[in-house]
Amino acid sequence: MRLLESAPSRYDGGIRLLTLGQAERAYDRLTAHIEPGWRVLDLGTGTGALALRAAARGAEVVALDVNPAMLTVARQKAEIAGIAGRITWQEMGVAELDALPNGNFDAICSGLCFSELTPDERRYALRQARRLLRPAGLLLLADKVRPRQPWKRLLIAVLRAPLAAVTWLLTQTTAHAVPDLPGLVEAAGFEVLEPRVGLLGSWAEVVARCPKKE
Amino acid sequence: MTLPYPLLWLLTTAFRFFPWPTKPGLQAVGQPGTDSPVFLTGNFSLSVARLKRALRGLDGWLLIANSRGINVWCAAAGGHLTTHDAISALKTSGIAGRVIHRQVILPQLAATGIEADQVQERAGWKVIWGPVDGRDLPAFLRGEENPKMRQVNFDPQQRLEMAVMWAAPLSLLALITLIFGPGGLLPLVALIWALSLAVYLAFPLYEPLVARKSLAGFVALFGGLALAGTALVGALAGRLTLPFVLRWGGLGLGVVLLLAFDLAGSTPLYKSWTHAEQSHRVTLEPEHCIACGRCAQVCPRGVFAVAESAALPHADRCEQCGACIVQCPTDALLFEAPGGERVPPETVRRYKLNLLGTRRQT
Repeated sequence: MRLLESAPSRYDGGIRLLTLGQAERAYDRLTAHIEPGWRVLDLGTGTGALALRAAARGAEVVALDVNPAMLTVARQKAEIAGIAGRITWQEMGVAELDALPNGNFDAICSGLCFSELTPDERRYALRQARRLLRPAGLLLLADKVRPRQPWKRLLIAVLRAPLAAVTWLLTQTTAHAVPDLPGLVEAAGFEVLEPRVGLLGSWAEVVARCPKKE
Repeated sequence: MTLPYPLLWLLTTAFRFFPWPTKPGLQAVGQPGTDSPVFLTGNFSLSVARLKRALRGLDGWLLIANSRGINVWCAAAGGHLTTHDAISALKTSGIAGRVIHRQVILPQLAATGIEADQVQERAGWKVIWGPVDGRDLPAFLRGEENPKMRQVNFDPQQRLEMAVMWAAPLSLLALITLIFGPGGLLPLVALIWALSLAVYLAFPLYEPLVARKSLAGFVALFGGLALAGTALVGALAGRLTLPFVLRWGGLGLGVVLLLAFDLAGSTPLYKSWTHAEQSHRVTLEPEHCIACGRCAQVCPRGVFAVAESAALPHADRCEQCGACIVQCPTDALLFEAPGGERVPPETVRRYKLNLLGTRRQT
């Protein structure tokens, strides 16, 4: 439903409500893999949830999003947290990743972004991610996923409907689901280390390693 | 969606307030080859189905960009069909491997959201602005362009669709009256449909009221008609009593108020009553103008005439869609508010409109 428009300033509250806090815990778990001094790329940074956590752990971050209004909120949050100097924000979509040089990043993270992409864009983004990561670099993803079993999908739709409606009315935030995130990552040639699926199979966190280059 | 077209039309028109996404990506129309034209559009199911029908018999590549299931014009103005989406479709769909040329035809009404210059620079494809209506594409492709193809109108079919778009949800809302008993539902639904059809089909007759932003005038006119109609029906049914007229006249007035809520915005000719920039004028800075003619190409209201410089002989027709400002390569055009404040072109390009017509900065 898009009766009203998305409101970047209400996004964080909306996602917290919609995922019952799961998104934030997932972001904490994913960014725990990031070491100080690492170069990290955050795809679809939105209001900067992952970028800010990575910068707080001492990483140098490049954070991308297509929505300038989201980036404005993210920049404000970085200023308040005092880590603005570690983060470079760019208005860029996954289709424009070919502008960035090869093998430069220790980790690429992305939260609730792949579910907003088209299937073509997801495959493209993962190919680019392989190019952009150094050998053995980490891919850190968190997203809503569609459970494989139809009965689970129905149950989730029914359980989710009131929460989704309330979240929409209060914050104009909503989220979609990726059909098979771990499978997609594997098909792109990554080694999936820790797939973690929660919430009746509707949420996935993927930690994957970029293969060594030939 | 693979519904039969009439059913698709009914569903997506009755519930036009909701997005109806179809699968984005590359599709073939006919038997396209490496020099066949490439058409880009959004992923609103009805638009895609209509475009395929319009292109029947031709060979071409249909590139469906992600517009979140919203039609091209609303999506482009509202930030849901952006330069990023066009670049993404061109780069991730594999179209580059299917054709040897690098020209993509975009619907004219996408011009308020997709910057042709940026698509050229960042994706390497040249944008050609096609007509407003996909049905004009065959003639457009034959080189038979005429100025009418570049202007929106509000023809009877579109007016019918707007009537259905309002009457269907209002009829569902009318189900609430079942708590008062079943007798009133059918007459209320009949009233809703009669008024919706009357308001939209008769539009050309009272259009000057809407053009002058006379909301009160419109409500008085149709509220009065609803009251008169109620009295007539009451008389014919032999139930002409004051309570009858007050109740049904009151309901009629309620329906008229709901229809009036966004009447101006439901036409392609005028901005919504709430739109923050509805009184803005488009201003030309002639020293920057290079007479490229893009403003005239993308304007859906025929405002511009371009000779040695652009001019706005029909500025009164402008409905502040912003397409001219977005596309001008030298930033020669901008919005000026009645108080003199100016909205810079980059603001119009980067920050799009929310449903209430305000430019969203956060």
